Amino acid sequence: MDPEKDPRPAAGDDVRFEETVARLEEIVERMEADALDLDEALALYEEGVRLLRAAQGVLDRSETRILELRPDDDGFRLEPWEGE
Amino acid sequence: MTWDLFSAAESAENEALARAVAAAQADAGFASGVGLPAARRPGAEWTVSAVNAAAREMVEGVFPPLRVAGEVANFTRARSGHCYFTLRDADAQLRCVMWREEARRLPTTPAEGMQVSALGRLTLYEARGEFQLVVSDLDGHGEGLWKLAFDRLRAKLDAEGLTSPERRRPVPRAPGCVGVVTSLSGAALRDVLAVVRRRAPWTRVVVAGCRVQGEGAAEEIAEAVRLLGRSGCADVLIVGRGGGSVEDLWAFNEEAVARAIAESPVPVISAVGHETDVTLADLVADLRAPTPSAAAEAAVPDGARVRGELDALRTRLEDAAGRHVADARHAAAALGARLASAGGHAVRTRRDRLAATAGRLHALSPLGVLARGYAVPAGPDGRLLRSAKEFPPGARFTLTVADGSVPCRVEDASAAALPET
Repeated sequence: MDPEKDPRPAAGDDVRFEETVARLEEIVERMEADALDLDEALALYEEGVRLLRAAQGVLDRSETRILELRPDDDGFRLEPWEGE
Repeated sequence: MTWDLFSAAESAENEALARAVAAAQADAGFASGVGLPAARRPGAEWTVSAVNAAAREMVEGVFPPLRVAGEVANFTRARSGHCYFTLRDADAQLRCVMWREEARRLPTTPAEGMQVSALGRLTLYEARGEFQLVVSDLDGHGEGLWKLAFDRLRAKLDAEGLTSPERRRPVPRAPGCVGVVTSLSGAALRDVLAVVRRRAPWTRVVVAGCRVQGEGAAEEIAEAVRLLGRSGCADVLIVGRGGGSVEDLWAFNEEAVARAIAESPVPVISAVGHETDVTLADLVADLRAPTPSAAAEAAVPDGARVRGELDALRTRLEDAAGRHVADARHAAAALGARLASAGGHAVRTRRDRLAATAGRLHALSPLGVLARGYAVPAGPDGRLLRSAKEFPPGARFTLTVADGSVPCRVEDASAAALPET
């Protein structure tokens, strides 16, 4: 996909912020609730650390990106908005 | 006063005055400067056309624009777009016509018997000799046509269930991308951007510009909402504009806009700048905000709060992981103690299990175990290798250390078993 056509804030890869945090919450809750096999606890922990890093990376973006959506022959296109 | 002047003209004794009045009242499209036909030779015969033409000139020339109150009857909209109706009171009726250009601005057609106020000019339709009012503006008394239009469409949307609170979807807590449907030059967009930058600057904003008032605005708003929906790029939409009069905000009461919002694949926050009047856009939206700024506040989370939540999750994650490690150590210690007092056949298996548990403890690398110099071996299938027996000569495995992993191969078969007990 043309990156210009995907204005979602990819968190490192293509994970979206809200989904990232939701998965992180799920991991923490499982680790808090269950008597896990150690292998499993390790795997969850590693995933959790990765998600935390990804989420932090998103939050560290300080410049709001503004795009304009216009109809065109292919349906639509996105362009940087320079209206301000 | 007008009627006094008209009476004077009617007497045909003061034609000059009538002409002067008509000239003063000249209005686009109407005959002006002529109050009465030129004097004719007494006794001469008139044609019907001449009578009607003369009467029309006189009527148009003498009457100023009038605001007429009455009850609407027989309102019909012709295929051409022109509207025809009758205004009446208890004793009389007046034929009215509203041309397409003006009729298009009506929010809805008036109900039969509705009390209205019509602004128009009198004329005479020469072909039929019919006296009529050419209406340029029409509004209902009391709550008026806007209210009637609103009520009619609301009833329709209610009947389809589109305004039902159960249809409302929750808006995302932290959208990656906010779609905004509003005028590109309006204050509403600036307000939304200011809030997003202040609270959640990482959020992307995609704007789909449209006119938000005037002819055709409703269709543009609806198309912008659909375009954002089709693009799939936004997690939530803000649809709105700053404050204005009922007429300014009217596009947000039109069916096209209400339907586009109701059909949006992602939640919509309505933000039509008004405090008291609810619009149909508000009723079908998933969330109603009183202003564009408030809509943006509802759409994006406060950055400081999100950071706090992430920090809390980090702490919980590490605490939970620490507890799993402690539990595993405890279990290993208990097993070791039992092993010390056990003997015979069971010893070997238990010793293996202890070694495996130790291996798993070492595997909790992110907690710093690896950082302290331990390493975790894993076979080509990713399974942890827990016993010396799992390292035949030539076997390949991976050793995970604090900052990465190292591919390894077993050189020598003389692996020493752990000392018994």
